[in-house]
Amino acid sequence: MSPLYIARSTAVAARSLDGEMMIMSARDSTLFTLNPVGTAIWRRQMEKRRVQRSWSGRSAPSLKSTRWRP
Amino acid sequence: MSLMQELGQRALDRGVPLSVQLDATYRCNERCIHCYLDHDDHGEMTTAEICSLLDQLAEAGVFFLTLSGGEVFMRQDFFDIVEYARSLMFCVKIKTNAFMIREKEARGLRNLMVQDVQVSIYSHRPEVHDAITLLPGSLKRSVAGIRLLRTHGVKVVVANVLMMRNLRDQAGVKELAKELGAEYTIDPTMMDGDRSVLRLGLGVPQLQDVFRNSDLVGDVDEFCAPPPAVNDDVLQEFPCSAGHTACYISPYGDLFPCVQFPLPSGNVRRQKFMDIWRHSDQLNEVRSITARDLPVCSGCSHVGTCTRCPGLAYLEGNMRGPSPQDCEKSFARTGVPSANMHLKRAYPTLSWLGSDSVSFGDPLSPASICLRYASLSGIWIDRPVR
Repeated sequence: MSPLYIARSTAVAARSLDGEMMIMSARDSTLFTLNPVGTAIWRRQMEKRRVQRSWSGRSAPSLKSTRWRP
Repeated sequence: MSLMQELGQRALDRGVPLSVQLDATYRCNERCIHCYLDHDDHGEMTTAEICSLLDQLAEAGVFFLTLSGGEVFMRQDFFDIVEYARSLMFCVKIKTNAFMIREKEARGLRNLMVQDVQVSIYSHRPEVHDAITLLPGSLKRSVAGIRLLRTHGVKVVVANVLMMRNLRDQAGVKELAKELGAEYTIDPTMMDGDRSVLRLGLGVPQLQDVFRNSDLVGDVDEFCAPPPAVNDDVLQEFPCSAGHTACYISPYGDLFPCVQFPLPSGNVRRQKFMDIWRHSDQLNEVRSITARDLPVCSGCSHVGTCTRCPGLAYLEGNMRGPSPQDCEKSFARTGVPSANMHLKRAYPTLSWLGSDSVSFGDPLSPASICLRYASLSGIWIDRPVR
């Protein structure tokens, strides 16, 4: 299995509305929407990212573990 | 209809709170003369409480999260809150005076990919700006903060609250914003949590100048055009997004329809956010009001184009009543007096209206509007006008 995979950008905001994902770019405020198929792919990709982060020892943010360091 | 409008309509149809403003603190390093807040800490939500709230907001479908204050950087844990919010994929906007933004903070906001940072600038002249914030050196520090943000590529919006003291500096602030690479926006509304601040606000002549400045409003003829005819569709519309797709939460967990609409609707420390959002009597009452239910405004020619704020109307005593500041804006913009202005001129004291002294023929006459207002507001009419 290839170690490469598509990762969602950290430079976006996203939220599901009525089954469709709204995505806004923080770089230029462009707004996108994904249809249900795109939304499903997006969700799966988010899951994969969490697994990857957990595997690399950087747990997902929690109240105790996310002290911000500039 | 733009994509944003389409999403807004979809959120409205499904009762989704698309936007929330959360004031992280009321503490502030400035003491602006027009500010209505009590800057003491009376028990702000903790980091854990706010993060738990953010979980609930994400679950509820909130997309736009505005973090404001007070001055947000007065909270030691502010970056923890922003980081947690971004991990939940909120579109985060921040309102600040930028006084406390140094290299570390600017870089941190860039790394967290906040959508934009809105900074209040009152004048390009320190003697005017600092006299409003009552903090010496505040303009210099705020401008330095903006420069750092821009250096790191953070989008900045300069917000210019206009009042009598700084009206003639508007062009200077706009030029300053341009030089800083920031966007520029004006706000001529004075919030009257403490009514004494209203005396600082602009009058109709000053508003007329603002609304006829093409640099601010674009096409003046279009912006100042007389109101179009009112139809049934207009009367079916809701006054604004407050309580429909947006709400406001204070540092103490109190939930209101909007930051400008201080109708207590619940507290997120005692109830789940969604329980308040769905079941609050106050929010449901706000949602039940269409333009048709506004006793005075439904008969006003401006009803379809007015910026009427139900929160300011609530502060005037009745959320279904007119918002006089917006009546003045509509008048200043178009030269056409609002129904409320007609009414005030004809009947300065509504409760003293005499039914024998008015005509009922024209449903849009001040007298008919006044009677409709009185009957819907429960005002007893038993004395003649003097």
